Amino acid sequence: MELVHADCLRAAISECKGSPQARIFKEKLFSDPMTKETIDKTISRPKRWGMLVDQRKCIGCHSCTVACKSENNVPPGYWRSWVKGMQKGTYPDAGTFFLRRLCNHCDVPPCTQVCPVQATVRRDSDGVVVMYYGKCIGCGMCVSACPYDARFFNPFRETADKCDFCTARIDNGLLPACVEACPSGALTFGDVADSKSDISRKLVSLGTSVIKPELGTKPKVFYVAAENDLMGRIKFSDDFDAQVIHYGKSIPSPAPDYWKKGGKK
Amino acid sequence: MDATVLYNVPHEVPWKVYIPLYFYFTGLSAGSFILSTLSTVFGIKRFKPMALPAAIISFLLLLLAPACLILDLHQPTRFWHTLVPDYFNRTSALSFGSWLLTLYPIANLVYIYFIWVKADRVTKILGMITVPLAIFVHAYTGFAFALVRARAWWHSALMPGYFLTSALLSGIALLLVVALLMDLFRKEKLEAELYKSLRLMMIGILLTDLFWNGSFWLTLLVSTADGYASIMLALHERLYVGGELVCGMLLPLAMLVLPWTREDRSWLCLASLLIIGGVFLMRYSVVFIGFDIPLS
Amino acid sequence: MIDVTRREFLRLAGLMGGASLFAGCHLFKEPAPVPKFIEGAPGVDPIETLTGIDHMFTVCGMCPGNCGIRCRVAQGTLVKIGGNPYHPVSVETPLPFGTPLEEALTAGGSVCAIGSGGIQHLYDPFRVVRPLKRVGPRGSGKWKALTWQQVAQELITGGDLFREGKVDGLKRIKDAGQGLTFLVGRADWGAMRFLDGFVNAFPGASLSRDRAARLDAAAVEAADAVFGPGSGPVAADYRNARFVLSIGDAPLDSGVPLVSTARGIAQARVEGRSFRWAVVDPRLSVSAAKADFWVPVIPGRDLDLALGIMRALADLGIKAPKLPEQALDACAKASGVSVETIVRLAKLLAEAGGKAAVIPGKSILTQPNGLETTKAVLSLNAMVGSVPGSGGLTARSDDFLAAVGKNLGSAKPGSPQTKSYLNPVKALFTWQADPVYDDPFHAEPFLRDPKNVPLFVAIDTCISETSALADYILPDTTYLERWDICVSPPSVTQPGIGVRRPVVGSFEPVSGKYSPIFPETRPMEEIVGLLAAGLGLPGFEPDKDGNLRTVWSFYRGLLGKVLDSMKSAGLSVPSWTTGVEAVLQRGGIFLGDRPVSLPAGKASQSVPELPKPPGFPDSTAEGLLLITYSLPFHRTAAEAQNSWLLEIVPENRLQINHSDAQRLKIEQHATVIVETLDGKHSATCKALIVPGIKPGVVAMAKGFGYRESGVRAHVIDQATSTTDETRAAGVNLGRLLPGPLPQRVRVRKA
Ligand SMILES: Nc1nc2c(c(=O)[nH]1)N[C@H]1C(S)=C(S)[C@@H](COP(=O)(O)OP(=O)(O)OC[C@H]3O[C@@H](n4cnc5c(=O)[nH]c(N)nc54)[C@H](O)[C@@H]3O)O[C@H]1N2
Ligand SMILES: Nc1nc2c(c(=O)[nH]1)N[C@H]1C(S)=C(S)[C@@H](COP(=O)(O)OP(=O)(O)OC[C@H]3O[C@@H](n4cnc5c(=O)[nH]c(N)nc54)[C@H](O)[C@@H]3O)O[C@H]1N2
Ligand code: SF4
Ligand code: SF4
Ligand code: SF4
Ligand code: SF4
Ligand code: SF4
Ligand SMILES: [Mo]
Repeated sequence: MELVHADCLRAAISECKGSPQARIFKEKLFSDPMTKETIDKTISRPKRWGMLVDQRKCIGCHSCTVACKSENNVPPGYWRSWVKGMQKGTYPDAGTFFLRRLCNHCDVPPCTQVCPVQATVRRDSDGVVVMYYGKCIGCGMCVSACPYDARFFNPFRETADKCDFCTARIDNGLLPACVEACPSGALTFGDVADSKSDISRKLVSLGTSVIKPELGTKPKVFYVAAENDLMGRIKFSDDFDAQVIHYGKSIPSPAPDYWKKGGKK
Repeated sequence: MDATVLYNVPHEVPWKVYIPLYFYFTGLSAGSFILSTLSTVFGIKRFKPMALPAAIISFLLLLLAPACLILDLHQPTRFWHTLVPDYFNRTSALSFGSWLLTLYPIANLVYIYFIWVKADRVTKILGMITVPLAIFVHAYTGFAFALVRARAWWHSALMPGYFLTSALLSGIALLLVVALLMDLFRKEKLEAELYKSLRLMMIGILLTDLFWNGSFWLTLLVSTADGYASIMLALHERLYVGGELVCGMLLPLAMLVLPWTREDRSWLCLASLLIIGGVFLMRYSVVFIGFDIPLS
Repeated sequence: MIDVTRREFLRLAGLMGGASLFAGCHLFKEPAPVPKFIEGAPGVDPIETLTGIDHMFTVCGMCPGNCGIRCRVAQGTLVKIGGNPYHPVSVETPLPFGTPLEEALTAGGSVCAIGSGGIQHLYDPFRVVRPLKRVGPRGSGKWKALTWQQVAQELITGGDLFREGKVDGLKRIKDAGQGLTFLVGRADWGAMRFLDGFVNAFPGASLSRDRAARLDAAAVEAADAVFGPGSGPVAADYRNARFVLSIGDAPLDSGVPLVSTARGIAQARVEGRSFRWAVVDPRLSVSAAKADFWVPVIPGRDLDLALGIMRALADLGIKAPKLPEQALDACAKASGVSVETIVRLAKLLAEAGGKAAVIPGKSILTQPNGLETTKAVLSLNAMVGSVPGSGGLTARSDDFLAAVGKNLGSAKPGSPQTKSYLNPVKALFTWQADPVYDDPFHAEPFLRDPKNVPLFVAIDTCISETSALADYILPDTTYLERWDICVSPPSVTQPGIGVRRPVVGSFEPVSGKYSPIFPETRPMEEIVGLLAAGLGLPGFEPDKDGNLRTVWSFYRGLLGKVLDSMKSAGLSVPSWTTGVEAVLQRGGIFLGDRPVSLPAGKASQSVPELPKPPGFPDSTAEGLLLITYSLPFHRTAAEAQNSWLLEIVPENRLQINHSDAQRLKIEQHATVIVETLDGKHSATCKALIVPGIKPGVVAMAKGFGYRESGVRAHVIDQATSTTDETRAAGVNLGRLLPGPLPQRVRVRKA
């Protein structure tokens, strides 16, 4: 089912015979004196794509959010990528914090665990948790089972949907749309299984954390300097009613209905 | 500490009311089936008159249950994907559930046939095979929740047990109403002993369910932040406290226990109806209170 | 993979909300539901990224940042906007200019939220797609569609155009030699050269600029006054500075361009160099939150603070200009910043010396006394020895453009004219300006009355608050469907230019004819060229075959001149670019950093005389001081039409401190009424109680509360359009308060 890197490139070459693109791909694929076996070997070395989000650099500009919306055509009111923000403290000692969120591409993903038809799986070749839209029956089990609210029902596709690390891009040697867009360079994407990669080096030199590590999901999205009150549900109050019962009131983004009704009450 | 949310997004609940209905019908079905087997398999003679109606009701409900499930699917025409062996996911309760939900109605139908033709021995063997299926069918819905570690309100070892007992409870209550109706319209009356047994069973299960609830409360109250928030939310939820607990459990329990109501058939009927409603509310609150705690 | 085309098609159909695009703008159709702009793609095909796709490099036009962008165009439809890897704003190390285009395919670049959202600007379902003429009174929202021939004929000859009496046509106005004003909002260098040409050729015409451009000009004036002519505007050089003091400037909230500014600051802050940053702002902006020091000043009291720092610098033995009599503690009291903080800021400045940067923001410039305050703030740089190029401040690197301007022989200088468009004229043209949204108290009554402007023509992409009042709306193309030569903001130090070109629509290279996606829309230059040719203006005459000069040929010629000028300025422009094709294909040309020669010795003497600050703020005054700010993913009205941006925060809320909220008994998210002290104007909005704002101050983001562009229904050829109320949420502060901020307002619970 999966297309590995080289398959994609080969397909691309046959698709765009003679075009300038075909030329570079051909060069890419055949520039080194690689035999088929060595190609296959290079490809089959399992990768583990991961992302590092440096909250020291993140300015809550939502460039990642909009790049993702645009790249993946995410309908209004739904999110593959979003940014949480809060301000806390007491004047004049106050701080603003952001947490850039997306699917964690858990190495032990609770979402794939519950899918009755294997429509969502973790790819063995690179650890990316992907959706096979054509298989999905739309039961919603994975949406309920993701501990990070990373999934949603795409109302146009009528299947579950989520961040897929921009497989269409990464499989073709591009960076995910959000990583490319981020103006502050807060996002690092790379192979965490390759100790020489940029992300791996950062993982061993910076103190990182993941969201809800206690669940044993082994997220592959790592955070630097993430604000504790944003990891999970935003904690903005000690008052139970405000924090739990009326939580929805604190969410500024409108629900899908708002867009369906064109803002009319 | 003063803090203010600047940005955050809502996450839509993926399920509609069909999902609790589905769990509810599955439970009702399993419950009435087990009741049917009390005479056929376990040889408790006084339940004999109930065997056939219970089995038929169980089968009919089994048609309703998957219908609800399919109604909630966003790709209803793809429901058959769940039965493609190649797609089977051994870690998914739903994968098992789909097979159970396919095998169980078939077994059920065969079983009904043999009661109908009064082949008692065959019925007994078939019943013996089908009872575990019925139990699994219902327990699986409990597992579907219990295995979701994301949501503290669901992720409990008590869930399958609770689903099973309340399934039985609703099955019995439904059968009791059916029995009362049968009495109303049939010439040969059912024996009072039958009612008494049903009543006692209901009391027993209600007490068990209350015990499950108490255990839930206590563990969640001292659980993680999400667990604590869930139980507190539940206690703020009118449907849960007023509906499920008071109207669905405590009131019927009182009616079944108190000497001046327990012998009265109208009270019995009312208690059963309340239980039937209460169990639905239990499914409902399990499902949707689970979504009240945002995870991101 | 075989059915790429089908999938492609589905995706595109989804992107455009079904058939809305091909059916033309639904402003022309029966009432229909507002097409959903983005409808979730069916399967993203990996191949989609690579084949059947054009990658067009051009320049963003959503803000004056002029970032390089790369547009992914799938079978004629723009599907994605990313950064241009050749552009120094998009990436830290741009691809060398000579890199073949194919190699750039797998390289990317940054783009901000607003820039990515440009697709929605292009495919806005409320775009005007045919020339419109009003058929009711001004602002009645009743229109009739015209052909371009009709437009040209009516505008040139005039007559009883609106059944309200005779209106002079352009021909008559031209012959009379007076009476045409061309109001231009945000416009780039190339378009300004074109408009210079038009205004010069039209006897008695004048160019007027909107508030934004006038503010930009004021910023240049202030910098020139401090650092010498030709220095301004200035920006902080975050990559080299050791201490930056931002006063009313919020580079991480409203940096222009946000892209390279944010990257520069992130690197300076995180990657270990000794960089210190203080932000003076009554509100905890993102910039303040990320800085080392947040200095909450009393709004409008920045001059006192600047004076205080000067005094403290003088106390450190640094030569100060003649200062008004105001002691340090008086400055501290007046600005609400403690003496210790002021002294500390002064010390940090003195330590950083030439590598210090003190940057005044627009919120300083817009204050009463704004120009003086801005000069005072800028002269703090000069005092400690920081001048453009010395490390703290960037130096301009596009002087080659000035030479081109001169060579073109523009009689009128390219700098924005200060002539106000609010003077009565015979005819007013507006382009990329929305004064009615920006300054409704003055612009609206003025423009509504035909006596002030008998002929009002708006060249616009949609029916904005301004064009809603026009007599004619001539459908413009967006920045994604036009050419331009774009100057980068001062924070970009690499010498070079961005070149904009159409990324969608079809271009016929032989004739130079461009057809945009909506066939009846025209780039502004073509519209103006059509009218100018009809008037027989010199320079706009048709050629011997009767063809008008194409927009393309104008820009190709201009680009050639710019490249020549770059060469004469000693920049190593590769010779193979002479055909300008390579430059167009890369969205411009940038050459590595050029060492700057410092305007030696000029700086420290040029601290201008400072005005005396207006006494102490009245602490007993009634009400709260209202200020305004920018959200990093939201701009002015044009971007309020973008659902990807509105989704994040759909409306602006009143930020108020906890202590004020408590006093006024306002709860979190409560609906509040903000009213002027005289009670004449008020607005209703939600409160957002935050710790990060100075008590006594309230703040609201700009760019919300739009009343047009889909919010109001219009009748075109008897068909009523539908509306989209998501664009109307929030408050336009311009409608709440006449005059500049900060101003006192009363806030109460609704
Ligand atoms: N409350 C508050 N108000 C403010 C400010 C503030 O800080 N707070 N800041 C002020 C400042 S500094 C500024 S610069 C102004 C900015 O305010 P504006 O000048 O109103 O904003 P712009 O985004 O420049 O949009 C100008 C017009 O250009 C149109 N436009 C955009 N693209 C195109 C195009 O391709 N072709 C044509 N023909 N038209 C186009 C838009 O539709 C819009 O009508 O706001 C000012 N107002
Ligand atoms: N995202 C985004 N970026 C933009 C724009 C946009 O609309 N959106 N607009 C662009 C334009 S046209 C311009 S002119 C610039 C403007 O950009 P800036 O010059 O940065 O001006 P503002 O964003 O209006 O205000 C900056 C900060 O000044 C603070 N402030 C308000 N009043 C005072 C005061 O009296 N004293 C002090 N010290 N601080 C005060 C505000 O809280 C705000 O945080 O931004 C440009 N960039
Ligand atoms: S684009 Fe980068 S800086 Fe902006 S919100 Fe996303 S992660 Fe943060
Ligand atoms: S974050 Fe959620 S959706 Fe993503 S892999 Fe983990 S469980 Fe699955
Ligand atoms: S919604 Fe689709 S992906 Fe999710 S569990 Fe159901 S079938 Fe699997
Ligand atoms: S990796 Fe791609 S899909 Fe995931 S958040 Fe980033 S842009 Fe969206
Ligand atoms: S900062 Fe954003 S909006 Fe401004 S030019 Fe750059 S990409 Fe466009
Ligand atoms: Mo501006």
